[in-house]
Amino acid sequence: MQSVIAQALVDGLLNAGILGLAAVGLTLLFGVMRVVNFAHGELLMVGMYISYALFTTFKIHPYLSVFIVVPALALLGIAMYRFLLRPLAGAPESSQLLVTLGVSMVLQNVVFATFGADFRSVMVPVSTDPYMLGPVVLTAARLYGFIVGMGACLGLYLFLRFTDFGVVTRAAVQDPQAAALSGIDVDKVLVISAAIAVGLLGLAAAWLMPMVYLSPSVGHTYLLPSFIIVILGGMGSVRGAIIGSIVYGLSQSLGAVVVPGSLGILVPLILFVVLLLLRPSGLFRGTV
Amino acid sequence: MALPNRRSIAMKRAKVFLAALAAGMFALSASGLAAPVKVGAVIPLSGLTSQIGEKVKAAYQLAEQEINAAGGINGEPLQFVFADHQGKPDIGAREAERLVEQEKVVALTGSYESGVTLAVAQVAERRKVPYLVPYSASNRITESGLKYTYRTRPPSRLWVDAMFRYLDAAGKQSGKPIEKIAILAEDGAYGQGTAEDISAAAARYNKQIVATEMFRGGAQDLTAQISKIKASGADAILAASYLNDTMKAIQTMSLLQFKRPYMTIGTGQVDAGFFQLGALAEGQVGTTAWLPDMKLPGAVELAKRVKDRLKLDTNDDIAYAYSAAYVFKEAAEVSKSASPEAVRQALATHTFTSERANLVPRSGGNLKFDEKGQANTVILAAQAQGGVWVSVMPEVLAGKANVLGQWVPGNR
Amino acid sequence: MTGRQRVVFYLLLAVVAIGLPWIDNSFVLTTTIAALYLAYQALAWNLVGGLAGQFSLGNTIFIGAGAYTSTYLFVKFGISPWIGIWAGAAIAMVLAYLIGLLTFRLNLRGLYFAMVTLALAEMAQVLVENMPALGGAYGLLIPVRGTDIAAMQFESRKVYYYIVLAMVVGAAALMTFIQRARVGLMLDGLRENENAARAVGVPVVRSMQLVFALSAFLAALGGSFMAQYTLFLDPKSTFAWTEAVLFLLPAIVGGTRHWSGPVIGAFLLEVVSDSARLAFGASVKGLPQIIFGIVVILVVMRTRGGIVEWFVEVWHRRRTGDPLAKKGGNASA
Repeated sequence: MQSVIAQALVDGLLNAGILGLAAVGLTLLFGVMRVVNFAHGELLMVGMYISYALFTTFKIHPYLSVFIVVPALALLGIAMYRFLLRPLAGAPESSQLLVTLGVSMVLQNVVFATFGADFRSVMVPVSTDPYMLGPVVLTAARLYGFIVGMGACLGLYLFLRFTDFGVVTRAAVQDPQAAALSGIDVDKVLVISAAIAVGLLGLAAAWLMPMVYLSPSVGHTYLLPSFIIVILGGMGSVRGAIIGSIVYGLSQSLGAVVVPGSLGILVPLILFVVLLLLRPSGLFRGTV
Repeated sequence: MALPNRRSIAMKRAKVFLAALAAGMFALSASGLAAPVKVGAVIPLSGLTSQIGEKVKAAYQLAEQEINAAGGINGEPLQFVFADHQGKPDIGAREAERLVEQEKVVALTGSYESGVTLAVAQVAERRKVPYLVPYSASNRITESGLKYTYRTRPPSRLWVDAMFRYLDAAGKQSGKPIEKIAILAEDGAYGQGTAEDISAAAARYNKQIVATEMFRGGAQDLTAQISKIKASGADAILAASYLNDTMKAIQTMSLLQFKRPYMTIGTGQVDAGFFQLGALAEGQVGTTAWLPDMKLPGAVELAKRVKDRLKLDTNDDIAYAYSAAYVFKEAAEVSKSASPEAVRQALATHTFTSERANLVPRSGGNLKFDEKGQANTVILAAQAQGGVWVSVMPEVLAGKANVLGQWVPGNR
Repeated sequence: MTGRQRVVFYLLLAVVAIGLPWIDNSFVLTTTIAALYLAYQALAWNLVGGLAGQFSLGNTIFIGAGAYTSTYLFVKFGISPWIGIWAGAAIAMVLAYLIGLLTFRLNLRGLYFAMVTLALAEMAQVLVENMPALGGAYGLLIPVRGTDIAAMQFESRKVYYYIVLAMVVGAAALMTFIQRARVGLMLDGLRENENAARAVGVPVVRSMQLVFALSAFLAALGGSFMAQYTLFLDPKSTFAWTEAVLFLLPAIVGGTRHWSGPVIGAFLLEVVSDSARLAFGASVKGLPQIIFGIVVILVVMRTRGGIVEWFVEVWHRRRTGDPLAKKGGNASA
């Protein structure tokens, strides 16, 4: 039993890396634009399909596909902002939510119409190369996923905290009018934030490819955890997304081991509700 | 009275808009053509299982072409009318109703997911229209006292029996008996029902269940479940999983260096997609309701026709759909009428003799339905040999012999 | 529009509504029943989502509570659904009160509230799937009895039509009644600015609890109705969050300030999705859902606040000739 728990601990931690990467884009989007992006999961899914298509057509390794997937998704993010979200600024919050919902339906079904519903996978050596850590076994893909995921989150945190652009973004978030009066081009900040937020999803997508079985509905699997992580960590907080993903990842894998049957999924859910009741606005406040 | 006015006018405009939509709806639904013999197929054409729905639709259409080329049913052409249930029971029920009321189908067929099948079965029961079910292993379908539902595919009990018999035979063949079984099941209706059947069968075959693990279908990580199963000392895993989860499980088992037989039901394993596992696939064993290499008259020819005309490999779903069309044909011809009640009567009492209605593996002679509406069809064990699935058990039906693979008990 | 014109209009509406089943076309009938049920659940959601401004994703918990209670009581104990539905509604109200205690009292608002209700709905699904007494993941089948009034089963779809029509009228009436009552005014205030409302003495939590309980009550009755209509119930299609979203879409698309909003939204969405499915469902993969998604996007982009509000604004602008005019003042009742 001990080795089973040890395995679960390691798995949970490693999963947190990629989950965090997926969630951090969501929290950035909310922090900066106050937008609840229901299309989050589907954008990730589109990134994965692009990576898959590159692999099957040009034999490009998923990790290398980032050079195409990230810009593609960043462009998608910018397009979504320019054509759908910006025109709705000032409309009730529910409008933006609905519009992203519509986008998610369209994306999911366009992919479905193009690729069908068959499960696709990308088998590369990292998918199965094992690393041993005592009694614990991990695949290289999962380990690298953790490193890149956490690395990117930390990178974003440092970027927002210490660079000029980061300061400008936080200013635009705190008080758009004051920021505009100080000469900050708020719109440009938002565009770039959208690009970063969705671009990060592209990174997550490429890094997830060797680990998952892809289908048009895979976005749904990541949507709920992403939302939970973002809320738990505090909306808009990158630090919060990192900590939140670790909490979620560990509770999910330990729950699966300790609790019998499919009741295991209750563990992260109950933990989420309890933590939120203790700290209703999430673990951290503010953007960063 | 300014405020109420604005709203009323808005409502008036909305009502006009609605009336226009309603008229459009009505126009869309009008169908006044004289009917050939229509059978309604409520199948998944969108959503997760749509690739199955597409194949099945192609199979029905092939049967329709061939039946009509040979003169139709009682001289009238057969026509399948398709409806997409999108994986949702309530939409399935509504489409079934529409097919019965609008399209005037004399029989229904479908629907793959047990939830949808049950919902459509309720419609068939209420509308007194026979429902021919070539899929879905859920025991519930023939255990719920439904009088209008007839299923050709074997219930999950028989799938599980085939698994246990294989394990017994493999144990004998290798000299090392397989005693301890672990269950791995997805937490939906399919998984829960199968897990129950496996537990019940274990008692009958003198096997011990050492672990039961459930997982959320589509979960991308089964490490927790597999490591618990490994810790329990199981000799084999019997599962209820769909193809992606099956492959994930087998990969995880390999990663954790836990080489044991992993068997699940039908196309959750026995499918061309399984070979994405590469070398890991060789020697793996599963269960199937149909393979072209079976000792069954007409099987090889069907596989060839399906390959030539539909460019597809025949699997359980395609073969069962195809033969269901012929079952319907024979039922209507035997009673010399394609009315719902006559067809139902024939399904309940007739023993089917035509070759194509019997294009499914059976026990106890030709195809017939018992008093619960279940046909006497059986399951085979299959093995992946040389990049293809072949049938290996029971010998009377199987095309090839079993090869003790990489997971031989003792080769751990 | 004078009082008399209003009466005539409502009379016409009543005639159409009552006479509809006599168009001998079952597709129109079943689609209208589906649209009415959607409208009903949208109205139920709107009590808490629109009037109180709390975005709840937990409506499926109450729908499931109603459906499972009345069905279980009937299948296991033979208790008539006419009685069972009230038991279900009562249980739903208790659940709503408990959830409200956890969330409203602890100041969870906006997306935080939405996510907690969503997590609770997921939990409900997992719990029910693991309870064999409730049919587990399989769900429950209600035995077909033909026309059996005591068992709330009818062979003719028409009866179900009138039942759901009455339910929609009742829900719309309840919504309007709440809007005009004192609690409605208080909800308006706290929706606009909760702190200010609290400062002037509005009992914030109690008002929210009240509409939440009423919303749950209605949702549960609806769930029981649906179970009796399809005679089949399973956890996945009952509790899935995609279902929860489906039931709130019409209110947001149609408008949350007047009962006509959810109704119009429901009919629009239902007709679009059914027509698309009929036209393309069996032929072009995924097209019906793509069309549905595009329609949602277009409607939201064009109307920004819901169809009814949009109509009202456009009309008001035309009437006053002022391109910047908006419907002013108190927008409800």
